[in-house]
Amino acid sequence: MKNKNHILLGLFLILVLIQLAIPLSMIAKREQVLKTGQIFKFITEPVDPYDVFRGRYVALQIQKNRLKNPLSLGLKPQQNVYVHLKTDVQGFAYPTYLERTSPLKGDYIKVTIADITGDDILLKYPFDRYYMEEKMAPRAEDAYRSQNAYVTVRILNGEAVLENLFIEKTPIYEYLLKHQK
Amino acid sequence: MEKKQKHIDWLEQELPNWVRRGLITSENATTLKSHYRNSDGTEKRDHLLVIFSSLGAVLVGVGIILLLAYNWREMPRSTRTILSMGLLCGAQGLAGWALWKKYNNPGWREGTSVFLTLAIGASLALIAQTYHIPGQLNTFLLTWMFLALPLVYIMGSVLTANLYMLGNLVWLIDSVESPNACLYWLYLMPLIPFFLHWKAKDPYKPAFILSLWVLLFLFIPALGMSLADSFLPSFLPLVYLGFFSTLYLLDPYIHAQASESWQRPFHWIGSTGIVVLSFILSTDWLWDEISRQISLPPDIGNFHLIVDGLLTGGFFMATLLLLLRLKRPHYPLLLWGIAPILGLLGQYTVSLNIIIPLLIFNIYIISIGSSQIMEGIRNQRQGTVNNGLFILSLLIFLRFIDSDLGLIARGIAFVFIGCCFLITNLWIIKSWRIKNNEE
Repeated sequence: MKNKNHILLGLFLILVLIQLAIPLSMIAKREQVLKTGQIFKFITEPVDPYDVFRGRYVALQIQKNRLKNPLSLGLKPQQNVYVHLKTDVQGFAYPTYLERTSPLKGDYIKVTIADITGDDILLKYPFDRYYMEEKMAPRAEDAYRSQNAYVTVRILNGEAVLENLFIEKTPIYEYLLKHQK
Repeated sequence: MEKKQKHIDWLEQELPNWVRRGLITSENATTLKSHYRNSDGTEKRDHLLVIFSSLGAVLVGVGIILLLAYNWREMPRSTRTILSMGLLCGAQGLAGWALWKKYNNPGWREGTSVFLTLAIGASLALIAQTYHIPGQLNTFLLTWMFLALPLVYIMGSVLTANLYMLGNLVWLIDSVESPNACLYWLYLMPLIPFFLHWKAKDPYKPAFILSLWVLLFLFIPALGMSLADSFLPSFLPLVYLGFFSTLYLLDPYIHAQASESWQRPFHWIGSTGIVVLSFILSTDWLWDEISRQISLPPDIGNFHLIVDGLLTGGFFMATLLLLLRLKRPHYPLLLWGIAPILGLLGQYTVSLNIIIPLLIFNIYIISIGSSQIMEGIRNQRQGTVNNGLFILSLLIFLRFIDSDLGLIARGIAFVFIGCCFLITNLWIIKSWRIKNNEE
């Protein structure tokens, strides 16, 4: 009986390490990007769905999400590619061209090809939601409809982590508190 | 096997007779009485402990999450991360302590295992929220379920197995339109050793019976959802008839010694499913749809084709094998077992004339109802007689609804059916009393 207990405890410890490893790796990867990544701004057009297990969030639709399809690369939907980024005069990022493999230099982000229609590629960025307190998410949706909205994203070696959502250059929570009815 | 209160009551009634006849001494009688009273009391306490421990664990977990949620917005990211991981580590610590110090206490093992299972999901969700991590619900669910699965075996937790099955069903609901929906069956396979272990060790353990009820109930929507893109949609009723027949025929192998109805989930779900589906197939609306679909060319999709074909064929083969294994003709079992064969017959004859499958299933329902009444009379079980009467009455009622008879005619018919019900019950009770008095 004691031997069986020791075996079970040993197996439990292994399980504990696996259960900790997954969330810790999620945290470590994103913390590194947030601390050392370069900051970019993307103009966005959010809607408001509900993820029943992970709470209320504002779904983000990035405005600049299309590129010309480089036919020579033979790209397909759901494929991961690397998109080079440039910044316009107002400081907002936009995609310029893409590569199949991770570039050696320049500012770039890893994205997924959502769809290919004719000459156009529709890109899916790796930041499609901003989690908020449940009661505030619908108000955020109302706010952006008539205001300018954008997100700040930290990018490091192609990996992106969403930092904040801004409405009229004000962080979303501050904006909603200021405009509380 | 679980000791039943009625067996203990019977023993307590018999003991004074045994003492009077000199079979045992009065001290022996007292010892026997106190032995069964105490052990039964201990079992009941264990069950209550498991239930209330698990309920307590769930309430504590939900309460902590709500308290954190209230102040969540004001907390910096680092605090949120530490709290998310702290919740998980705390739950792991509790479960580890229960495993080390309270292994022989099922209440502690179940409660801490359930708490840890919920904590895994909560931690992953909180971290995803903190870092605005994108991703599909089905990916999140799979990760959660696979991290919790080993607890079923390490902690010996039946409730965690039930949570795993529920989580997989939610995954299936979210994935129903993806080509991977049929992987649901693969994800359930890790639980096979769990069910086999309890079937061998104690097939009448209440928690195990509960798991079987959960598993079989979840199979019902899961079959339909995972076959949603079936290459032969008209075969869906057949798959279900095969499934329910297989369950019914498996009951004697798994719970042959059951003394209570609730201990026979295979019997009840199997028989109820066959009856409900037979009633549906006794009307023309489904056969109209089936005959329309039969004429369509099959939509052949690779991996789906294999899984759908395996399930359809598998249930048919299982039913046939179980019928062939019957040592001697057992007409009640045969009657329930032929349901999928009748379904197949209906499929082949519906294009000749839709009346044929309707007739087949109406006669089949009459046979089932009559068989239940005769079995109930033979075994002196009023419940079984009433089941048979209910089935026949429902069939008559539905056929009257379908017909163009007026209100008065229908009213008279229903009064007649009700009187038949009452008279039959009274006659049966009277004849049983006479028979028992003669004995």
